[in-house]
Amino acid sequence: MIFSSLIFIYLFLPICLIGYAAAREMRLKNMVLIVFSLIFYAWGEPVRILLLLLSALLNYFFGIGVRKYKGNAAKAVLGVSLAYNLGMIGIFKYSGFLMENINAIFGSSFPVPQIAQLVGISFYTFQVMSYVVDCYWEKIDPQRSFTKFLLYVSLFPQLIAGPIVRYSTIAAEIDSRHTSLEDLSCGLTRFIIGLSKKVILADQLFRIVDDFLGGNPESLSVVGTWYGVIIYSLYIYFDFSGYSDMAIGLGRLFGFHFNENFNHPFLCKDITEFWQRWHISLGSFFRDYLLPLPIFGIRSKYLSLAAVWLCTGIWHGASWNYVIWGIYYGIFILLETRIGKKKMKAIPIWIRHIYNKIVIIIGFGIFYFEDTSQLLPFLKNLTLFNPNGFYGTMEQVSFCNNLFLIIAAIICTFPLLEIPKKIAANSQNAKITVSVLGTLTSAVLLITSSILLVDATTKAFLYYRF
Amino acid sequence: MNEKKMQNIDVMLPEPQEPEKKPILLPVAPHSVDRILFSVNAVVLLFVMAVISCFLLFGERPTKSDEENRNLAVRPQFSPAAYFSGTYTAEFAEYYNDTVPMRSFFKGVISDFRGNLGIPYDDGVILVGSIPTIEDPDATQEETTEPPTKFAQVDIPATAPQKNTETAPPQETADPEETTIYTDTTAESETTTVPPTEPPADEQEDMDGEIANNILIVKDRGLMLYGGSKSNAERYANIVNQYKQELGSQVNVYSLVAPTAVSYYLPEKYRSYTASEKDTISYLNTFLNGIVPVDAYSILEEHKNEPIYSRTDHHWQPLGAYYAAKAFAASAGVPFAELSAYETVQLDGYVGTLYGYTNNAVFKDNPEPFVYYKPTNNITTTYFDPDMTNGREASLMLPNVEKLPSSSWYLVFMGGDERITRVTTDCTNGRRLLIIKDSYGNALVPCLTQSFSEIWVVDMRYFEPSVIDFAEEYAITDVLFAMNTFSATGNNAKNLETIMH
Repeated sequence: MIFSSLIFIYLFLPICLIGYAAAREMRLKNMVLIVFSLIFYAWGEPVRILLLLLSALLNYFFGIGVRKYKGNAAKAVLGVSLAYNLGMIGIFKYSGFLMENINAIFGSSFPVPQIAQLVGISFYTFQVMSYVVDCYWEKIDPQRSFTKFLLYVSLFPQLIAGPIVRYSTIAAEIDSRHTSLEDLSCGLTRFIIGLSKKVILADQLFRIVDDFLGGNPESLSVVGTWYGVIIYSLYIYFDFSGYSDMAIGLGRLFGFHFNENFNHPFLCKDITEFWQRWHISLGSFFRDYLLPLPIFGIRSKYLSLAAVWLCTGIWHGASWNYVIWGIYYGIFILLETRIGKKKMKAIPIWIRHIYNKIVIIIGFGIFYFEDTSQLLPFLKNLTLFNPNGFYGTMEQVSFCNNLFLIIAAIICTFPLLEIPKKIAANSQNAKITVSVLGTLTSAVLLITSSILLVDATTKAFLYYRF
Repeated sequence: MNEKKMQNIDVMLPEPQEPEKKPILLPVAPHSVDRILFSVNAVVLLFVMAVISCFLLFGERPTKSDEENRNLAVRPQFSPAAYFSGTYTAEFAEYYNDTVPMRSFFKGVISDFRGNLGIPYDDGVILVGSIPTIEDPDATQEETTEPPTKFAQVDIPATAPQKNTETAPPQETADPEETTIYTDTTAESETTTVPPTEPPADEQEDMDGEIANNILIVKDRGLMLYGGSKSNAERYANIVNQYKQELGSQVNVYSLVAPTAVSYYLPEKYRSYTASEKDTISYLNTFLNGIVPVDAYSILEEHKNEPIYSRTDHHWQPLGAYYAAKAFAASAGVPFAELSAYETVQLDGYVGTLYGYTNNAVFKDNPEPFVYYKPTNNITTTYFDPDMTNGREASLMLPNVEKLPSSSWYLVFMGGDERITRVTTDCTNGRRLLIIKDSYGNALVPCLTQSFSEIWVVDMRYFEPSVIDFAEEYAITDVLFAMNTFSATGNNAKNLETIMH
């Protein structure tokens, strides 16, 4: 089930909320959430629930194990847990890709396993890995109650497309939490903001992306290619950050407070900063769990850099374009590291903005073309080597046809909500006005999004695949 | 434990982020005003959600979509097997989303919303779908754009009269409508039927192969941008040549490849986004061997200021078909009736297939008339299933077509594509015509009822027997291939190979 669907918002969620509110004790509330999370995850493909349960059960014991034993025994448990978790991702996400490449390189003909990718496996497996490692490092105490641990693993708001929630973030709330009036109010508003980003902006932008990049990208003009990939960059931001907003909002409805996953990434001044603002929970995961490995660290700065960006790339999908995409970012981050913070800051800000926007936009182009044979023509078409001319009438037509949408999308990449917040801080009356207007706006956005959802062509979230 | 290490490399990696737990609307203060504002916000939003939930739960759910010409998803039956395979949940979600109460109204709102996302370019030009690849005139490789291969044909909808108790054998002078009607009462007559191997078409893209997925709207007219394909044009000509060879010299074979509206109504500055249908047809004709090419292009061009093409539909108007039929009759040397010999029927408020296909409000807001011509001479029409079984008499022109949703009005000809149709006329020249066609060919049939003694009509996408045997069995004297350029140089033409034998 996806958040941006009528069946989720108007059938699943109300029943879940009523059930949750009706349950008085925390133990019951947790059960309600687990049951609904399992229904949510089982939607569309019930058998995958078994793998989730297995993963929860094993990692529950791994967590206890790494603390119960000391020294090498604990290390062994940790090793087994990592092997299991990485193995599961490997089998369900990369085995087909691996075989194809082995066959391609060695000319062999091993059967390519046709394994349906498990929705959310990259997200929940990373969560349980962080849990076991944190237990091993004694950052957290292992959860003794399996139901509570299962709640952490299966909690539907963050189950299938992040953010990657650390156990430590919500450990206390799993034991005891309370949905305050503020949580309820802000959670609903946050959910609606995310829904609107997805349905009003991202889905409409995707129609343009599909027309340009999805049609015959090799026949686009220079301007047409840039237009398509800029719109795609906007699309992917609203799609993914909209999902994160919805997840964070839903979490709050049940008294959970997840960390932010996006912080207006397009405002970044350089590529390093972009990754501090984009998909924060993934970047911090690699920082906290990949770098401390003994082989990295101070001694091999570049090795760790390469490892992080290769992993970031391949995490996004079993396809070469993601690997290229990861390496691409690694190169720019390396470049920025070599230049150094001080020198970077000395460069005029507008040059830095132009530089990073171009890098980011071309990066999303690489991200888009899973079919790597389209990648070179695409890159060529961005330049004056484009055989189709500099610009064509169609991009003008499309730009005019979507003018207001594009303007709205660009404006919405800025931290707009700071404005009402500042106004509200002025006086009591201002606060009331802002709040009432906010409520009305939310209601209008909810109704608009709901109507747009009637159109069955809604695209699933892109990040579902990862 | 790794703080030090991390500080050394923090430049190149994301830094730890302070958890942000900011409320969206207001800074937190356990103040009574805040409590009231939070309550108001939560109550209002929950109320809106509750109202919509109830609306979706208790509102009357539609079962079919007139604009899209299809039945909507049905509620699946629950069974453990269906649940565990995942089909139940998937179908239920589809049902829930596909049959939203007042769906048609909301689709209208969505099309208005989309129509206002920007401004029309220049003189009202809107692009729907991607830009087609125009084939290099010299290219010989496989085509890169093909119209969608799936197709959904609407069969006789339920509103067609089921049985006329007064049915009498065809009278000499009777209007066909009064004497012959559909007696087909099988389930298919009430549903959107698709070829048996295809799943029910539920996406708008699943229109038949005659429609492009690249549509340019110029003011209030939809134009399908044509990709063109010289290699496919050759392929078409070769197949038709093969037919001629097999049919022998006794049978006259004609090829009528109809251009679409894009040839006549696309403003000059957009010419580069479409291949030339005229050139493609001429190119194709050069490969024909022993086959009479019918020049529909020129006669349509002469009349382009008349309403020969629908603005809101991907078909031509019956008037356009009439002119094309005239060109064919001239090529075939058969008599041809003037328009005055027909009963003209005008239906107003026609919003054709392009609205459902593009969901663009321009079409909904600018309906056009649909004008068709009923033969008044004495004809008898018999329909067969695509496997030549289940023959039954009915009228050539679908009665009461005005009661159907306007997007279905093109079904007035034989009620659609799928059936094999035989028309016996009072023409006494003894010539028996077989039309192998897509839906463009449907509109030709009434115009030829005074030109041939017998007309057989088969759709290349549905016909099951072998055309060659069929032609022999029914002593066909003339074979006409009639389809639009998208079919002739797209996937539809591949069917010509399969139905030959």
